[in-house]
Amino acid sequence: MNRILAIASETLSEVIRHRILYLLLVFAAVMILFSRSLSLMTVGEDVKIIKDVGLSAINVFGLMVTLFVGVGILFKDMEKRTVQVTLSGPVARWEYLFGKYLGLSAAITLNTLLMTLLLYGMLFLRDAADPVLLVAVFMLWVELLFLTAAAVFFSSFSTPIFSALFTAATYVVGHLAWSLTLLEARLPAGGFASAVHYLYLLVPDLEYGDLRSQAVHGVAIQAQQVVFATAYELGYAGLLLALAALAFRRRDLV
Amino acid sequence: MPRPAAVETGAPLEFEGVRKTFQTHFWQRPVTSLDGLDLEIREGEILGLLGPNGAGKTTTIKLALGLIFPDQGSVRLMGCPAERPSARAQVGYLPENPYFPDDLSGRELIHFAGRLHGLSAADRRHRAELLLEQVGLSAAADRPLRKYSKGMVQRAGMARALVGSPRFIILDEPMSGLDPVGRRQFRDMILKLREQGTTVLFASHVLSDAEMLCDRVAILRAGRLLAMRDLGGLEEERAILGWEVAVMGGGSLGAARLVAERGEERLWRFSAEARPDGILSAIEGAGAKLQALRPQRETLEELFLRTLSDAEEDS
Ligand SMILES: Nc1ncnc2c1ncn2[C@@H]1O[C@H](COP(=O)(O)OP(=O)(O)O)[C@@H](O)[C@H]1O
Ligand SMILES: [Mg+2]
Repeated sequence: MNRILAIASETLSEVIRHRILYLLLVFAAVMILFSRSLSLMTVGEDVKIIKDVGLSAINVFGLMVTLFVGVGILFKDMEKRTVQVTLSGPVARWEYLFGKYLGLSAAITLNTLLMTLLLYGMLFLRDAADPVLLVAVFMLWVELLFLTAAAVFFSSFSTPIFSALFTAATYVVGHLAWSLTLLEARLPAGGFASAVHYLYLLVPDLEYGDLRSQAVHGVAIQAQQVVFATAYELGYAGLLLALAALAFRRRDLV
Repeated sequence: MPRPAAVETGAPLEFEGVRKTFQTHFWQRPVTSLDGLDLEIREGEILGLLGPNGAGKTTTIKLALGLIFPDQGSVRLMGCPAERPSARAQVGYLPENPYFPDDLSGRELIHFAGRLHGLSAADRRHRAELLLEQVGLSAAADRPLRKYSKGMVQRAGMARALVGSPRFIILDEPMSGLDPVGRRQFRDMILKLREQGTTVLFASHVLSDAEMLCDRVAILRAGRLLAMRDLGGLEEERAILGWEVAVMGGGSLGAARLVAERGEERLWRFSAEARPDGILSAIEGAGAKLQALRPQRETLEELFLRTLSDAEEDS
């Protein structure tokens, strides 16, 4: 456990040194400039827009940290062979992977927390710190944890450049997966339709857990949906990590 | 992962019939890096793994550390199968052309390695201080590695390799990138490690490094072990290329060639065919006073090249 934590904390500090803070500053600047420009709008409208833009920004910046910084660190570790230096010590391969995952997840958590604090600070000034938004942020966070697991999974067997591409593709596919259910409904029942059905079961559906518009427009959110989506995405992440450990166990690190 | 309860028995490193190929592209034939390698390192010795570029030295080391896996044969490290992480608890490793996260400082690099080896914070501080001092990086300890020269990174890597007080240390081309002072420091460190009972494996394509250090050398070529021998025996095998004679005064020494002259002091060279007693009588005949008589042996490098071309003719 100590070794996993050592790798995790090393990874977290690497992310922090990786100019993640600059991204946060950009986030802050965007949000503040944006809310200033809204001062002419009627009360109520502007709050809704701040919520909407705030959540989108948390999403975009979270993705940027995951895809560029997180995937970038895995990339560098494999490409520059620092992984070999780490694994030349008394470290099991799965410990390395889990340590990396924990460290990247911690970085993403920190980043999400700070952005959420900023957003709430601004909403608080307008007397509109609506706790429902937190549920949407929570789901965005869960999605980033899932994507990080996907990045670790791809890095465990693929080349760095493909891992990065596959991880980005996972995000896109995950948000389009729901369209497979539409497709299935339109197809005549039969082999092809059931193939589409199984394909849908296989690919991650990330849209299901996206609660942003419900949170912004005040549509009631079902606790059940949150619980189910969280369990689904984290369960999927766990599966990917287990598969990653399996694939990485006997891989030649050249 | 539990550490081995007792000290493992068995040689620090044992290869048995190890074959390793690499598939570079699926449409190409695999490259054979090691072709049936048998190798055993004895506890407490310094073994030089020698051979030209591409001989399979780095491949051997990566197999030993469980970074890559053999196609055939077995690799045992500290008495355990090499892929077992606990086998590496008492092993230190300095990679060839090491790269470390370059925004870490030398000190942070060692702290991180110390954590992986399960050292307490106090131990890590102590070890870092000591090791950085030993490799001559005390002044640069808190600078990021990206501001280090190649030789300094090499030194940091050496300190990192030693953090877990290893019983067996594996160095891949440790002298590359070092200045003469650094080479001497490394040599002294390696010799000191041996004094403390540490086993050392070091790979090099530079024989003079091995000459100064090793108890035994393994000569590798094209993935095969060409020779494995004590360095003492190797000394005898080095052909005599000539004799160097230093004398005071006297006339010409017949067949010898005058190499240098300073006042009364003269340095002569005899060919390899000359016999020492013949040389002595020539000196006497010329009325010179003998100061020194030394055989000029071929360098290890030359012997090595000769061994290689002999092996080539045999096959
Ligand atoms: N990852 C790899 N892919 C393909 N060939 C490799 C790989 N690693 C080593 N080789 C080949 O194996 C042989 C031995 O390489 P190496 O062990 O690095 O030699 P050395 O360290 O003695 O210079 C070389 O022919 C090299 O081209
Ligand atoms: Mg090499």
